[in-house]
Amino acid sequence: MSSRCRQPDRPQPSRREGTCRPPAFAAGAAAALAALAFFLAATARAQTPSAYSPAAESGPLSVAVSGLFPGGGAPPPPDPHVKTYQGNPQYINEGHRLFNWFNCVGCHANGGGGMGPALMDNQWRYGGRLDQIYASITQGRPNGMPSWAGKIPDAQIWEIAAFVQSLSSPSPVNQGQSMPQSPPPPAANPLPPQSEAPGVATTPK
Amino acid sequence: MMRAMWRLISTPCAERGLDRDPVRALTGLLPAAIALALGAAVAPPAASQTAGSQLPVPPASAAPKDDGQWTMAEKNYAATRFSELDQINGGNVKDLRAEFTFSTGVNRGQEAAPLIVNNTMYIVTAFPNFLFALDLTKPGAPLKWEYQPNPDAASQGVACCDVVNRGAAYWDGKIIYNTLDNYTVAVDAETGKEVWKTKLGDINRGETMTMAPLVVKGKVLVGNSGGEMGVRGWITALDAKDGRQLWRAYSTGPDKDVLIGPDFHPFYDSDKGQDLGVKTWPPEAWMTGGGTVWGWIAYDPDLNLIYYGTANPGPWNQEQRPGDNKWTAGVFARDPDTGAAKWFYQSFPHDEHDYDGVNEIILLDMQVDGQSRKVLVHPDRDGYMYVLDRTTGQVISAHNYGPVNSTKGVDLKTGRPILNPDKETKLGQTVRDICPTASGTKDWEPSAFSPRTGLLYVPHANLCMDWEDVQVNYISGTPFVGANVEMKAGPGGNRGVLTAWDPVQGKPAWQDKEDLPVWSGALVTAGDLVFYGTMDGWFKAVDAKTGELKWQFKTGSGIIGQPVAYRGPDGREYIAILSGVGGWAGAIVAGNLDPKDPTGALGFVGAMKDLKSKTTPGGTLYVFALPPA
Repeated sequence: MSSRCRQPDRPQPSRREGTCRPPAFAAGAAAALAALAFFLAATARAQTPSAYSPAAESGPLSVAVSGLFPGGGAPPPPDPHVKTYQGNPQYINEGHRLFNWFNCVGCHANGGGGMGPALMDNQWRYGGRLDQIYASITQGRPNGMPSWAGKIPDAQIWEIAAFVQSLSSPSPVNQGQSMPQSPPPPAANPLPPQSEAPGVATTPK
Repeated sequence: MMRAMWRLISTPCAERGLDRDPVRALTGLLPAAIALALGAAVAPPAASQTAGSQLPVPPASAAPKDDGQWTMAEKNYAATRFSELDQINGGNVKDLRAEFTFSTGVNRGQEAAPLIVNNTMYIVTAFPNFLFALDLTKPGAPLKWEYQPNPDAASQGVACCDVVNRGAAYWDGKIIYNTLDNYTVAVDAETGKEVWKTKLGDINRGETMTMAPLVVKGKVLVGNSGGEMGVRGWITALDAKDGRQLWRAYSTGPDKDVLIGPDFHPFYDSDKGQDLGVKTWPPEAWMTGGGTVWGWIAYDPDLNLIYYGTANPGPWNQEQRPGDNKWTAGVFARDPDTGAAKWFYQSFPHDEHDYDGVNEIILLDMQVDGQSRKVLVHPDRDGYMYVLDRTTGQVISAHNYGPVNSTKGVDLKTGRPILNPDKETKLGQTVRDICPTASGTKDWEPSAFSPRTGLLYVPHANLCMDWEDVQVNYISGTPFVGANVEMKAGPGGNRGVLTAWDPVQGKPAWQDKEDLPVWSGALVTAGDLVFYGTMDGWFKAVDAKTGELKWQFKTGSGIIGQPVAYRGPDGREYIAILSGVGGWAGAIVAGNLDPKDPTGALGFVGAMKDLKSKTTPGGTLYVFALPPA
């Protein structure tokens, strides 16, 4: 997490050097410690091969963003992760939590957009296939989408991508969502919901 | 247009008070009764506005005689936006017609004021911040030159509320303005060649720049935006000659960073003490505490003081930052030569509702209790029309100019708002029907003051909101908000108002209601006409004395710009406005947001679900005049 979150140009608190600021000044030490633990865990996981580590031929760079293929042809086959994450309610649920945790909600709201584009409207500038969404989050996009590569562990980016894709799925519960927000409904085969407590570290899958 | 008028003269106070009956009568819309807060101070009975000698006037040094040009967004240092041109008046405005138009090619919110200098018009667009010079001496005002600063496209991702720009300033042969990616640039007004370009901020800290600079004594005053990104606010002075940074004053942190020294004499005790910009925050929270400077600056040459407001503290979730959060959400007076703070007034210590203090500040000399006082008038986001003694920072009066229930008034002994505990925001709990909204009774859109009527013409909104605090992490370069917000129409259902405010009596003289929030600035002329635009594209002229609609023209897109008046090379009076919807209120159209999510655009989508059916994006200049005699 260090390079993005460290801010050399501003006064630096030594004890937080190299980490993102934990969320709560007021919410007490427990939440702060939990947050720190989360970030440490996330960082550690980012540096070790994930269980879903892409094969050599996959990854964001292999995803086509254009629909034009000179000389004819077709988009490359979907990344193998798509099968694992797409429509999986457990991952979607976890992706929703991470969507809030990493401040995606600050720009994209609860799918309607704001600083960033709407995600619930079936319009995709850079493709709506799950691996295309994954690639957009990982690489960033030129008009203001940050590059999250190395900042969020791969597996969690896939979870966020699964949640983002679910926002424009036909399920009516995802649309017109009102406050207070609720996690997206399972698309199929409901599993027990994950903990939604803020600041609680996730269990590595 | 719905219209309501409160007769000012000869109606007994108890019957006419806007603060009381008319608004209360409209509160049926919201389930919870809107407890309309009254300004704690009751203005002394003043002479009728017809008594000319009693009318407030801007200080002559800050509002010199009109030369028919428009060289800074606010027209003059007193920020009156009053044009002495009077060819166009209530009798002939019906003949006003479009003389020429110009497409900027940028379909985002156009908030800038065109400048008119030496028979050339200068237009700054929203991102990518093109600067166009149009030759007014030739038919159709052809393009003279164009300057493209090529700002970093990634800066769009940290601009909270559309990618707007509020305009340029002319100084000594240069057009000076800010780019979204944190440069201040100076361009040769004659040739369009870049003279200097100075980088002042960093998008990877969430900073952008959107405000219109003010140039005072050869010093370019600029500030940053990003109160929703955990930015630390500042104002900076640059040398107009070469762009060299002369001083910078932060809005949070230790006194040495805020440029608080021995000259600092705030009026209220709660602003006195050492390093309050650190001590009124949890440890280190001031580093990401907001207080950005993205609004308007005024200047009093006699007192040699600049005045400007600081924005909201960050994050919006107030539970993450207990304390007064100085020096956010207030007004600073500073020496423009050194930046040294002279006084500060915090209109909202520990703001809980995103009530930035950055709105325009109009300088007036005004009768108060039979004495002439040097005041500033500040229509604040929190719903109060603050009248401050601009020498000392003392609050003289603070009357609400729209429905307010987040507070119950302003305590003039302490200067602090009287909080309404029912509307304080809380973690994990949705507090409903808070008035006004995060965007305020009024946002950035600037008012205009006419010395002929003594009235301040205030374009504003009438919105309320539901608010839930949520925990938020600070990750630099991403939003630092921590709230789910949904906005809605306020009492009566009309989302916008143009209020003609009598600053002496502390009451409206009349109000024109609008369906949509009024997000454009106002212009008032010596022809006693007030010009403003609506978010569905109507450009309107109303009678400055009565509010009666005299003329309107439908432009191509919603209007959120700043109208200006000038004398053309042919001697005629012209009125210019940029049309192009956007800004925070119009983000749903400019950013193609989804109306199904009412929390979109930090909650503004909730109140603007119908805007896509009323206007489309645009970016066109319209210039009007009467037919040649």
